[in-house]
Amino acid sequence: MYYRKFSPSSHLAPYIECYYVWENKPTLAQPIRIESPPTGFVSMVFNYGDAYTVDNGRHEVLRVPPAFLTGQATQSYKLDISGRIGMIGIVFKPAGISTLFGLSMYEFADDRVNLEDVFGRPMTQLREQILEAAHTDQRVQLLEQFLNRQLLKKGDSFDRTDFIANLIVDRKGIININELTNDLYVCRRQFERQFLHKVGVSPKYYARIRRISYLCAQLARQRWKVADWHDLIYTCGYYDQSHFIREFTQFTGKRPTLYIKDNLELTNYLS
Amino acid sequence: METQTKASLTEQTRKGACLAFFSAYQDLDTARMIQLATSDATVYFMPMGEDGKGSLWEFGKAVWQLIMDSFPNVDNTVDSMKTEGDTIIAKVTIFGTQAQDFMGISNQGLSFNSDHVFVFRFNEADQITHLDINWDHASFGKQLGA
Repeated sequence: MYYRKFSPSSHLAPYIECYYVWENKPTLAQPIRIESPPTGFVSMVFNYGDAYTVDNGRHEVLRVPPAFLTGQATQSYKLDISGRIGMIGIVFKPAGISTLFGLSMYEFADDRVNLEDVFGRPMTQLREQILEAAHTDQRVQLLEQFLNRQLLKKGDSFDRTDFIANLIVDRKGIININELTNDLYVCRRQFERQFLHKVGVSPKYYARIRRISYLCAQLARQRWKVADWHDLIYTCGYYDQSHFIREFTQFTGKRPTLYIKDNLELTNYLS
Repeated sequence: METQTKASLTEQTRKGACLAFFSAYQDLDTARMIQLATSDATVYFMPMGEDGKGSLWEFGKAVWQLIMDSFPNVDNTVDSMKTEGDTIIAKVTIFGTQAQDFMGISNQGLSFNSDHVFVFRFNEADQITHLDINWDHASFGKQLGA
C-alpha cells in the first residue's frame, strides 16, 4: 500500500492543503472497507484504479465517478474498495475550492459530484492527461499547472472568510467564533452567509467538525491506543466526557469505544 | 449524465429556497416565508404532538408570528443542508431572548439557543409541500426558566 502526501507551491498554500496519491501493488486479495470521520476538507479526486463505492448515509452504495468533487462531509463515510487502488487528489483548504472556482459549497455537502458535470470539458482533458501520465510526479505537476491557470484566471481573491476558515483549521476547531467576529469587526449574519457559501456549513458547525477530525487523526496516530482519555478530551476542547461522547457519536454514528474497536481491527488487517 | 446535471440543478434550487426561508425568518417576514410553499402545504412542529400539525400558510404562519412577537430578536444560523430524496434536511440553530409569555412559558427575559432540524419536502416545481420541525423542547423550556 502506497499513500503519500505532497505539499503545494507556496503561492497555492492559502487554498490547497496538499495533494495525495494512493496506490497498491499487488491488487487487494479481498475487498476492504475503510471508515473515515468527517475530515473538514473538500477535495477533487481522479481515480485511475478500479471503481469503488461509498456509503455516506445519504447513499448506501454510491459508485463514485472516475473524477469527482467531494463536498464538506458532516458525518462519517465508508469506502468499499477492491482490486487495484490508484487515485490522486487535491485536498483544498475549507474555503479554497470556492475561492478558486466560485462554487457555492453548501450545494455539495455530503456528496460526490462528477467533475465533468461541474466544470465540463476542461476536466475531461485533465483526467485524460492524468491517466496518460507516466509517474506520480508528473501527475502532481499536472494538478499544480491546472491550479496555477485557475489562480491566474480568478486572481487572488483570498478574503476574510478564507482567513477565518484557515484559522479554524490551524487552531483545530478550538476557537470562539463570536469573539473572533467581534475582533474582526464583521457583521455576524453576513459572515455566516459567506461562510456557508464558501465552506458549505456554518462557522460554528465547521469548528465542531474540525475538532472531531483532529481528535480522530490523533487517535489514528497513536494507533488507537489512548493512554489518558481525559487529557485527550480536554486538549481537543471538550467540556467533559459526556460532551465529547455526544459530539463523537453525532459525527461518527458510533460511540468512541466501538469506533476504536472497528478501526483497530482494520489497522491490524492492513498491517 | 444529463439526468445527473438536472438532479443537481433541482437540489440547488431547493437549497436556495431553504436559504430564502431562513433569510425571511431572520427578517421576521412571515409572508415571505410562507410564499415559498404551496397554498395547501402542511407543517408539523413535532415536539407539540398532534397539536403541532396544520396548514403551513395558516397554522405555521401563526406559530412563527407568535415566536417573533415573543422573541423580537429571534435569529437563526443555518449549520448545514443536505438532500435526501425529495427532501432537504437543514440543521439550524435558532436563538433569541424572551420578551413576553410563550406557550405556557412565562417571560423571565431569558435567552435560548436551540438546535433545530427542518425537513422540507418539495413538489416538482420546487415549492415546499410539507415541513417537519424538531427540537429538544425540554432543553428549550429549561433555558427559559420553565
